[in-house]
Amino acid sequence: MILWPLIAACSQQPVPESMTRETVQPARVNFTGSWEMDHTRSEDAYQELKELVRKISRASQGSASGDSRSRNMSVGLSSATVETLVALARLAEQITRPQVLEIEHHGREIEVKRRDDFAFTCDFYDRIPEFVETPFGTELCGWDGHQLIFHVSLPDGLTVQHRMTVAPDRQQMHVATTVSSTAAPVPFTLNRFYQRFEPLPSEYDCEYTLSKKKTCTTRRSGF
Amino acid sequence: MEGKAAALAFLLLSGAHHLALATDLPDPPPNEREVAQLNVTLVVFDPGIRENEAPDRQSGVFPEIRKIEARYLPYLLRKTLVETDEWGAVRVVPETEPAAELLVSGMIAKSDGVSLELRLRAVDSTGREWLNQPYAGTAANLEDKDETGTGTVEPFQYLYDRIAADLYAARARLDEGELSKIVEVSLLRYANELAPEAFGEYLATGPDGSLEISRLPARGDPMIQRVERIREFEYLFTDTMDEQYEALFREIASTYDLWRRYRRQLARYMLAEEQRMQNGDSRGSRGSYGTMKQNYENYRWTKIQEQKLQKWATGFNNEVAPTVMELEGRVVELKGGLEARYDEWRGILTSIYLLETGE
Repeated sequence: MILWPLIAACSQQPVPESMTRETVQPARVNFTGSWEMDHTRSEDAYQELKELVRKISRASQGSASGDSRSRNMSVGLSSATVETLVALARLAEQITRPQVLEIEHHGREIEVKRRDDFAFTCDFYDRIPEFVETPFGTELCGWDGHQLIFHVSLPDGLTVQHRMTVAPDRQQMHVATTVSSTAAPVPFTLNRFYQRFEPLPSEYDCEYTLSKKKTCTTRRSGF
Repeated sequence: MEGKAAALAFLLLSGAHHLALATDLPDPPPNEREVAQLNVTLVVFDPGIRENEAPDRQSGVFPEIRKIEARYLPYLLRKTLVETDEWGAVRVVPETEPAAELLVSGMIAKSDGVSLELRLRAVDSTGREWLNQPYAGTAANLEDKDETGTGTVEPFQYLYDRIAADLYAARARLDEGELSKIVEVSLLRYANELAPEAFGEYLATGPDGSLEISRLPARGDPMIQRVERIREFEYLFTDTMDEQYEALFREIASTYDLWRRYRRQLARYMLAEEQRMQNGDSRGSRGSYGTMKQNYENYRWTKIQEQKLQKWATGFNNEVAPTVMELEGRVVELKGGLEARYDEWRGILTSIYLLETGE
């Protein structure tokens, strides 16, 4: 809680004020399960970028016409700004590429395993958002109401935030990934939706050891 | 050693031997060691982790591995001390023993394969502190193989050598009288623990807090002879337990070396990556896709390595857990037997003392 303003100071991205005050894990929210991306509902980065550029252009045009009728109506969006927005969108698309998430949520710990990428982990010890410094970024995770937030501040004013929400019936999950940069006028958010699925039961018991690596044995049937 | 263990097992498990304690225990072997060759007792190290392990995990500590290191590292020190041939028996014990001639305890402040920091304290039976300081260093740049290419080389051996040299230097500052006193006080403290009513008045605390001998038992005092026999018996027990720890040492040595090698490789790679970043290699302008991607990829790479390390830690634990569990079971079994016998011995010694003094 105390550390949060430090992150907020380094980040352009708005962070929920509630996360700084109370980060008690909601008792009923549980993300545990296997989740597969629902492409029919998930946003497409290119479409969202087009929409964002259009909105900014409109806003700047309106603002320009209000200020001075003689001003060129397209000055609000420089090529550098467009380039930065494209960069944010490309990065958001890359970050949200994992199609399958395996989540283990037990007590005060949560691990979001993302296929072919690193996992998000969070330990909600003592109701304090977990603050971790790595050589290349500063992480913070915690609760904002019933939503779980993973936030990372990277060099050059780049921040990435994942806001996860699970539906009350626990069959669907929404992850809003927001990428922002101090070089961009607005952040870029990409919404992805996931559907719960039941993985096939494994026929093997596997164990990983340092010298033998992964070794598996056939699981004995219960008969 | 097998014969010793069998004898110990017989003595521990026998229900009838205790009544004949004063006469049936083996006589202590003649003390042929030089007075300077004090017995050294190394207590299993404090792993240096907090009850709530979350902050330690965040700072790259793997609590389960640290707990194993707490048992493993004292053995490296023991091995070093034994090889100097400057000391009497060097034993690793699970708990502190105040009556030890020279007691060495320690805490692992840092151990990540690249760096090691131990905080060590050595104190003799009189309470004199021999050393109390940190020993820190980075892994020697070894190819992880010895000259013959057949075994592993301890990358922090120079730290253990330094500790051994400091202990030697501390001992060299004491004269023969002081060293003899350490041995005598050690025995009297041990005797006092067993039969305080008989030995309570032999020791006194001096003005500097150290233990002084108020008076010595008479030559041939049967009570002190009994205590010496019990102590020899305890040494037998400790050596049996020591064998268990030594087995652990041998079994996990190669796995532990592998773990530390991985960690060192990872650390070297990360250092190179950080330097590359600091040099600003292939950086584009702020806000460009190239810069953003590089910043994110660096972070992503760190996370992947960190999680790989976690996987290795799990692999390490999976590999050594059966050995550790077996060891813990045997130590608990042996300790339980010994503690029960101590209670009996204390009672017998008190009875004998009361009989002999006519009280």
